[in-house]
Amino acid sequence: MTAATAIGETIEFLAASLETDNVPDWDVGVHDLLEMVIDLISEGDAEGLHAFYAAVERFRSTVHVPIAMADIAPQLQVLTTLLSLAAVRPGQKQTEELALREQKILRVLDDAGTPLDNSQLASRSGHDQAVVSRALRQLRAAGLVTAHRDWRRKLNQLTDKGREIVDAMAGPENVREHLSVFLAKLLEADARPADVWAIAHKAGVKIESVLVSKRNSGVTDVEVDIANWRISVPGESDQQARFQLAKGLARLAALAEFPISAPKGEHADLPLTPMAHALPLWQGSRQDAVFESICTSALLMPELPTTLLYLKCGDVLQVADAFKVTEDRAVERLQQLGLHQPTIVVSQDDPQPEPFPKSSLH
Amino acid sequence: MTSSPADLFLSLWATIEADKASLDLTMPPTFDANLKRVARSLVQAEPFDMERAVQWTAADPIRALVVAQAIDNYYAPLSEGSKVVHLPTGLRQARRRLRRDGWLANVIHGGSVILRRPLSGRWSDPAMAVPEGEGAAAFFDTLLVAPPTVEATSPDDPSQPSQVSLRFLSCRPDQVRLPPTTSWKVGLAPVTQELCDLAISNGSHGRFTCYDSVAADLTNRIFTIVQALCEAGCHLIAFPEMALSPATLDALKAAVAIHGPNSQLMLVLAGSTPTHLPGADRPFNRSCTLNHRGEVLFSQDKLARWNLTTSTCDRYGLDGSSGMLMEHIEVGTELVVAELPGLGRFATLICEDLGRTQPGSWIRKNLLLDLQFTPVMDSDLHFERWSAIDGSRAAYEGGCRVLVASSLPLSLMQNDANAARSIDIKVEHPGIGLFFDRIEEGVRGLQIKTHSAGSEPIYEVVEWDPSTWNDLNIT
Repeated sequence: MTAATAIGETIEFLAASLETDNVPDWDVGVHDLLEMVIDLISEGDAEGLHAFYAAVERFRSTVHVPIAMADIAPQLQVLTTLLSLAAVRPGQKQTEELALREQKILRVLDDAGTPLDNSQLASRSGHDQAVVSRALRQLRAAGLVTAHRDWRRKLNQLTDKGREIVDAMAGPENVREHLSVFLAKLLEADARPADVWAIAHKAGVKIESVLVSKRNSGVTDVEVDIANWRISVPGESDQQARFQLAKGLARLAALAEFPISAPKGEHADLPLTPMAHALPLWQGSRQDAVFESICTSALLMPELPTTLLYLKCGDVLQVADAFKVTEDRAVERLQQLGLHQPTIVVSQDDPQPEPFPKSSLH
Repeated sequence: MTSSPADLFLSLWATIEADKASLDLTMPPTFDANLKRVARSLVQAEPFDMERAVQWTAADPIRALVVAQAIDNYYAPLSEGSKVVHLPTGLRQARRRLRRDGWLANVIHGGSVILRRPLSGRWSDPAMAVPEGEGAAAFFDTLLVAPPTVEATSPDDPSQPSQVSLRFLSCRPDQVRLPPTTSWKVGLAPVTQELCDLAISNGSHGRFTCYDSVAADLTNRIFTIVQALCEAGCHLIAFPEMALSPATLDALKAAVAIHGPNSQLMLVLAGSTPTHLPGADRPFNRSCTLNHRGEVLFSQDKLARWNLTTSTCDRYGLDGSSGMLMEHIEVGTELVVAELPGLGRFATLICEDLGRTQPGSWIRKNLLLDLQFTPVMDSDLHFERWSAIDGSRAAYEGGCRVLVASSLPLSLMQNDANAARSIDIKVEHPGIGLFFDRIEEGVRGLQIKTHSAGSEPIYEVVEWDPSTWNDLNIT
């Protein structure tokens, strides 16, 4: 079963559920789609991800959401935003193109400090030898690793270019910084410090202190001190630690329940948020796998605070204010993130329903 | 509607159940390899050809078991949590059905085919459950058949069997919040905590003398309790039997809707409420399970009445002069087993239903419950009493967790009755909750007492941490 077939079949299922206004089917279909993208990300399957993104974009550009199912719009938006952000990786271009397993092998070689043969690399990276051989072929072709024979053993070592790439990969400190920023933004978004403690605790992140002080001007200063940020995974490498941290990030994002628009339903006047409905889609079975995979997307989106803030308030001026930048700068940044037109239009009783606006995301 | 291998499994189940005596558990490994290969190819064919599979199976009785085991094996990736992107189309569709409905087969009048291990995670360790060891289930690792009805003891006579229908349902991930990865915090509140909070009155109904228990409308108290328990970080909040009037239940839903979304709250086990339905002479004793938004996920009616003997009436100072006092309720005819994402299988057995052997024992052993909730209206809960004996046995045989919650008026009534009869026994700090959890070869339990009294809202917050509890003997 190829990823493209599975994706195509699920998209068809989603389209059918839309045609019949079948909300439960739509819910499980979106859940499947989310888990698929998460699986693809965690496997570093770039080809599958591209196929996924193309399929979802096609779907999004042609689908007509009936007014009866208007509340699915935020879900679709979350999905496409997540995908688009997952497709944009930070760091040098060449790092972006490396799948996670290749990055791990580079990291293992760098950590070892001495040349390693294939079996050593396999045992230290946790991949089997066939995967390591395939990855090494790519790395050698890219000029990041060289191999030489020592008696009967074929030893691999990093080239200078390979070392540069390892250095360019986001280090633990960067991730820690991202987490601080993210938590700070959580607090700015009126999450109570107690909530942040609880959320971080759930994510396995220990927070030493959260300091919130309000200035007379009404601006809130937030200082979050995070310690013990490495979530324990026996024998983990820095790479794994970063993933574990990013997993925490994604979990924080999921639990924070950032609002996108006014909630529907009988409790409309209560502090409920549509994200509370959309994000629990991530909270289904195999939670470890789900979060482990969402982590990767979180790792790949240092812009998460900006994105979530924008999704929350939907107003450039508020983003500019939150980040203490000019309006032009905020617009520029949001455009870079492909978020200058985030609103999904839900057609009314129009005989020629207006399709969703095409995303400018890549 | 197209047929799936699960439909065939359901139809084969009855055959295997009938033939189980002649089927040797050691036989499957010695089956002809070719037989197994054909069975596998029939089951894995896409699209699944039900007619062809039935024809092949009908030719030889032993093929029923081989094909059923091939079907069981076919669905194994769902239990193992294989990545959805790699699942064949048929399994992906089956997974959707499980997530949406909770069962696999399209035809459900002959029972529901479900996964032995819930799709959406378990709270307990299934290995802890005492296996049935008999019946068709013993031949399979992945699938179970939940029949449409299960045997129960009669609502009024424990010696008589009756039948209740079994309803298996699945809550979607968007309905229920993610469970905590760390230990659970459980909030317990008696709600009815003073004598004046509960009225128990006798009345004559036909040839029977019955009693009604009616709780006061304690809406303000319930708001305070819910807010406090949400702020204390509770994941579960449990209330006792008949402690919530219909008005209090409405207040509870509203309070949860306000405080639940901004807390860690996952479920509210709303004890029980007298629920009047059109056409019924008597109210149902109904327990609702709410999510963190205060929405009712499902409800369960009490299946057996708690009828009071003269000595029980004496114990609580009730008028038992006219003989047995019958509980004035309509009994339920359906048992709900719900699959909750991340938590596993859950059922509520109200008070007397815990004391009756069936259907509790059957569902714990066969459906592998993860959590059983039992709201009771009883005096001081402690380890020597029926609720502890039956609760610990339930935890042992089901490998599950059992949570019993009680209110306070009956303890106060018993104290008064003792004083009136010059019996020098007074319970100062009644037990309002009992927790049980299966640990390896035994069961551990915790008694939760309240040290508060009076009209201030009483509640207790307890962590579910069996490592600190008492070891209990299972009798």
